Amino acid sequence: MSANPVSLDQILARRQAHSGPVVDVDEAMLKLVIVSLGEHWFAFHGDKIVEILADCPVYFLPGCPESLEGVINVRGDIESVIQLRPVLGLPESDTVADSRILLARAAGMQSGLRVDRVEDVLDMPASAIQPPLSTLPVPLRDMALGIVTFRGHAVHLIDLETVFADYRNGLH
Amino acid sequence: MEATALEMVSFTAGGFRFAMEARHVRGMSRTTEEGDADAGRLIGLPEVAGERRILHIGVEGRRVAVGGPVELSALPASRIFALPPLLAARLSLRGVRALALHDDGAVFIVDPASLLGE
Repeated sequence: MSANPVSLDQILARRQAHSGPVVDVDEAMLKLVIVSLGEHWFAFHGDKIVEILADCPVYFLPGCPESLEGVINVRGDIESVIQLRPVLGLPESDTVADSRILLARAAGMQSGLRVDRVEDVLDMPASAIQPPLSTLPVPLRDMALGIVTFRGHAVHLIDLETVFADYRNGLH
Repeated sequence: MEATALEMVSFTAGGFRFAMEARHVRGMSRTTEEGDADAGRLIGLPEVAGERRILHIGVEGRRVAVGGPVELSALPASRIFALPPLLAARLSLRGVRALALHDDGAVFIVDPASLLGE
């Protein structure tokens, strides 16, 4: 027997006093749009993607770089369509039959981006994204925000702010 | 219902269709002269051989050779658009102010004053 007996209530009260407020430790999540160009997979921040378009006729215009496919009519608004392959430094390829156009907004501009396929749109923990590989080739190195593994593929998270700003400045 | 429409003259230059506001065009003739400016070259496209029409442009009636067909039409304002920013930034052609969307494609609208350096 102790000389100074304490009650169960006192012990629990002490426990309560020492325990701080309950902190919500939910991890930050990022919405990502994951796309593929041939065997290469890329991701964009979901808040930069306005819409995913399919079966959208593209109108050719002369005097544009080869990577600028033309314009599309999106419910009465005209948007340019850029082919991502040359922008990301990938070799040319035939357009995939069921390819998609991502309508993206970044750097104060809006434009369509041609991709082969949209693989998924999902929420992913921010901690799942690792720093980009330092061995990435240019121009991908300048545009990659990070890398994440998804369905067994290495997926590069691409900075659309840089893509659009560089494209406007004629760097791609 | 279309609220407004713009009278446009459309023509061919460098193998592609273009248009300009009809108010800039004073007339058209078929007789070419040495020294006529070629619309394709003014815009920045290679000259394409073929039959030519001469548009008389501006108060001075400056002569610009274009390819046919030359057509006058009213284009609904709802089909006229500013250039998308990335396209405007990368376009290599001169004098392009806007674009028009037809059922069969898109056409650049050029500003003759810019083309002719006025």
